[in-house]
Amino acid sequence: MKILKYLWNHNKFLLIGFSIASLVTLGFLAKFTFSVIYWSNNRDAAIEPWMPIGYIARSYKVERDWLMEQTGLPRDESRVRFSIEAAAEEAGISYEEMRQRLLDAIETRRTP
Amino acid sequence: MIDLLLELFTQYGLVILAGTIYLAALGAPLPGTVLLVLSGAFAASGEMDLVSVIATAYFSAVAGDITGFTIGYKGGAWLQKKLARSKLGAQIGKAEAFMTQWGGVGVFLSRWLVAPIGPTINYVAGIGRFSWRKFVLWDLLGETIWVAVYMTIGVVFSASALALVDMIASASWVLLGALVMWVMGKRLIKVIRKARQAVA
Repeated sequence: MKILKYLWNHNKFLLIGFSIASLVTLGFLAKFTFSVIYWSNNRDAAIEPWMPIGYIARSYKVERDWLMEQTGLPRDESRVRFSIEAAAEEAGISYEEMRQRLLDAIETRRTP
Repeated sequence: MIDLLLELFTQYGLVILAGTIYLAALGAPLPGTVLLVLSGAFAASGEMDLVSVIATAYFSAVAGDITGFTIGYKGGAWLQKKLARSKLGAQIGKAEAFMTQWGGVGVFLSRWLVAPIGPTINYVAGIGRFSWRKFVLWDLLGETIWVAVYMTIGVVFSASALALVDMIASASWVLLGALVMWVMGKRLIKVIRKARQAVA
């Protein structure tokens, strides 16, 4: 306690700096541990509006062309990074509807 | 903010990748690493061309680093002239001493291992008048590892790679924090020894 008081009186900034560095490091260590646990349990990525159909296909281990067909849109080879949001817009349905349509299709493909 | 950037990235690809990495190297709070990993994942799913992604990411990162270095170099010389006799002038002298001691290794490791301090090191290297040739050489080596590691993560882990990047970023901060704690801890132990003598 006496030493702490001495440090506070003579090396305030070093003591504060070390305390802050320790707290921040511990905080990131906790964040790291939680993300490792989360990652090992959740490998299927959630679908987001910006995700291209091909990217979703790879994530859910189905063929890209097949998933593209499930959007209900005419086949177009020239489409690059065609996002699920753009697909919904072109099909004239909401993003949520398109998302559900693709998820249902993936589900039937996965179930034997 | 991140969703908007990801949307733009999906739409415009390489241009957004290049801009983000370049600005992130200058210290802008943009997720350059996240886009690099995503590019790897997009390349793996046939949405982007792998070679173009690697070339774009590599050249944008190096260009950003060199810009940061140049700003530091030119700005540092100007500052030193202005502040020759002040405390800040002495700080510039310290930056020079730091770069002489840690220069190359510091540049190399801050490209990929302790990436959060990368932009700062670019400026400090310039202000500290570190050799331009050495800076570029270590930078090229370091960025090679950065691009190779994160592209591979993107290609291999694809959609679950983003969570992995988050993990690596936290690990990087832990490493940086531990480094700061080590440097400060060493000084603190010295001071405690002194304090013990004084208290006794």
